Amino acid sequence: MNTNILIGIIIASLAILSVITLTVVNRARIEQIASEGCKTARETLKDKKNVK
Amino acid sequence: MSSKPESSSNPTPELSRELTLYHLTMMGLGMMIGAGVFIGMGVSIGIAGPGGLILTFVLNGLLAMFTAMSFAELSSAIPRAGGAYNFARVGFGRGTSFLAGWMEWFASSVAGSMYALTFAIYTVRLASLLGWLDSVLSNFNAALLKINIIETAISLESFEGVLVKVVAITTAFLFIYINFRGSSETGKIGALITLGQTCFVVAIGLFGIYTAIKDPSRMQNFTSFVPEGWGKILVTMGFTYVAFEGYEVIAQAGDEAINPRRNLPKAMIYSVCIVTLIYALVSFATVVSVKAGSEGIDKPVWQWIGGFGKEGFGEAFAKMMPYKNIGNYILTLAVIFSSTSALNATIYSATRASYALGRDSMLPKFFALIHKKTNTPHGALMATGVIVFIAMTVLPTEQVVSCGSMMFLFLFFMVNVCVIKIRRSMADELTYGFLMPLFPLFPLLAIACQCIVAIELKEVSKIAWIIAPAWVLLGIAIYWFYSRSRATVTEDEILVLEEQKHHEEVPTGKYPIMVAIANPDNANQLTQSTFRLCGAKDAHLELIHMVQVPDQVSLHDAEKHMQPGKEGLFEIMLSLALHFPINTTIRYCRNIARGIVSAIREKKTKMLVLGWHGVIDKGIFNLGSKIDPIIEQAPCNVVVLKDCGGNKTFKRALVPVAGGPNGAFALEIASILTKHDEGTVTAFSVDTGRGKFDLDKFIADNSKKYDIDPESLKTKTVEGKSVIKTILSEAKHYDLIVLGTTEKPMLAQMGRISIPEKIACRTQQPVVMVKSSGGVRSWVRKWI
Repeated sequence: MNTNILIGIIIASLAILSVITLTVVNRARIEQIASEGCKTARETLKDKKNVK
Repeated sequence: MSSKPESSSNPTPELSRELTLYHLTMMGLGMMIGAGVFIGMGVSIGIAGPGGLILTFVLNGLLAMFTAMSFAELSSAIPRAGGAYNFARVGFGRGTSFLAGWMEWFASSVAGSMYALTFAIYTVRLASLLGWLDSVLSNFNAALLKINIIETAISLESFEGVLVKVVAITTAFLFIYINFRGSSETGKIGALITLGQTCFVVAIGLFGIYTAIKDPSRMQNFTSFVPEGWGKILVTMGFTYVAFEGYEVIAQAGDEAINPRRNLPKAMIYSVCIVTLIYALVSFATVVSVKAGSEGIDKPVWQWIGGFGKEGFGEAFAKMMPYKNIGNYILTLAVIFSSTSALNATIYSATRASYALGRDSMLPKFFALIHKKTNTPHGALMATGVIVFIAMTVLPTEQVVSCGSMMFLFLFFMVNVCVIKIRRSMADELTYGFLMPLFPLFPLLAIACQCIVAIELKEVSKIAWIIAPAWVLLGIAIYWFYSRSRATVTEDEILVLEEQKHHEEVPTGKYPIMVAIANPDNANQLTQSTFRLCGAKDAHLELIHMVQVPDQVSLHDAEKHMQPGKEGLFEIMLSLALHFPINTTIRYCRNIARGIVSAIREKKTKMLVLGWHGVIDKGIFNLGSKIDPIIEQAPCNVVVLKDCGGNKTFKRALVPVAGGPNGAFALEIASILTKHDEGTVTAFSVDTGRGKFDLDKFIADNSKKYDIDPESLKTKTVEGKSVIKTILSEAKHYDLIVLGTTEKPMLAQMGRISIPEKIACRTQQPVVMVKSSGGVRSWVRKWI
């Protein structure tokens, strides 16, 4: 197979995968924040730090 | 100077919340699956080749996702109608928000021209397919030749060109009129139409895959994958960027969405994901739609499709359809249909943006005119119409698309900067429904990519690189000479309630020091040290009191809360007014920290002095919700005093030092505060056995930059396991402790109280905490 095609397919798949992953991750984050109730950014980040 | 906000006691009209997640997602998709993709396919394949075409849309989807996350975060925190204009107003204030609205207006208007042109191109194409065009042209030519207006018959090509423009202008006029009569299309019907469009485009993509499976030889079309080189993908990405701008319209629907904090970000992210997959599918189908070597195809397929330019998409699919004519008609009708709904939405969006500028008095009142009968902003609509008409009559179609893309790139660049700024400065005020992960990686990536793509766009359109910056510059000029002095003050802004200028201008050569006063007690605490600092710096003094009024309280009540601050100001003036030039200001604000930081910028203050009660905050802050953000964000030196009032003498000052500019600045402040009592300053370091800190070298390095008196300075290093305990036990022998604050940005150190703050809280002695206004390094560290 032509190298260019291979590189192209890899880039396209990676980009599509990234878009889908970001969608899934973000959806999960929105659900999580929604279930916990709205918080300020500082509170959310601090809670995250404490869990760690 | 005294400016009042518009009355807030009247009931505020609200739009009813009816749009669900489905409606919002469909709204975004409807805007995106419009013309950008249909015109973009043909042009892009000619520039970037078959592989480049797919990569263009997929990578653009990724880039759009980065910006969509910024929009998602901002609209979840500020879910109001207005989109980018609103975000910029909250993040940066009036000037930037004017520019955002100004760019949004232009971008949407130009996008409107693009949809009108697409509508026209495909309508003329349909007429041509049906054979109407030929008969009309021959009759037309015969008539003109008969009356001797022309000598030779008009060619079909030039007739088509003129007809496209005529149809486009008529269509745009029609939709401007529809918008003037009041949009009747509700979100629900709009969503249904978009669903139909989406299904149709998906069907095209799936049919492409079916064709490729049935006839695998068509995959040979990908053999020259990126024939013109990888760099061309950046060019086509810039050109087709406008095809991804639909999530912006979702942000506009903040006032009408059900549960906006949750549904707006979700709809934005879903719509970008769906549209990226659809575009990838359709671009694949475009490439395989034509069989190489078949009848009439005498060159590589990508060149053949690219040769048709903006009509390439239609020509390619005409080759694929089984019942050629019927398929062709359906496709053309679908393109016409989708451009129509997108045209309506863009004109609506552009009008809304320019109306908002007019309503806030940033543009002349004409833009805010509301028609008595139809209740539509007809002034803004007419102005939008002018841009739409000019763009489509003066510019060729490709240039219109490029100008739209360029302006959206500028606008989204601004939104990405806003998301960083707003998270940095207002994280503890806004309630977010969604926080993007890995902040600020995605907005920074988006900014970098947008810059590259915008630069590469010059390959397709040099005109876009002239028109877009010229529009921005024109906007800056209009704001500077017209809007700046006229803009209406909104409740989000900091207002000056009372200002007494005893000295009209800051005397030249004087060092501007600002003292933030809360009440008379606090003023007493600050007087003595302020006097010494002012004396040493030959200062001009700015006394400020901020009145914080919660959102629920009417602004008219703000003045009732002024009394303690007034007394405090009076108290400190009694002692200092005879010695230094003083101005006093009382301001209303929604957030004290932001109010003080904005006052520092406005007054170009070099040093801020404020008091601290001395109790560590048990919540998310360290020194307190007001002081922490001020220390972090104030663009000047900050001096925080604890327990320094009541005519104390400072004979022995202890300055714990561990390197860094704040330590050196602490030595300077200690020198100033002890000088009056002829006291000494001890630079102190703790040797914990983990690498010794060279105190003498540190002082030698910093003595030139900071005004440290070498005669009164001593150094002392003590061995100890615990830094805090060693310093606290040493502090007992001194009557003043001066500490440099930690340099870490607040969000990074959150949850862990730093050493200087622990010492400041535990010691019984008067404490001064200082922060030096850092250079470029600390600025970069703060942001990233």
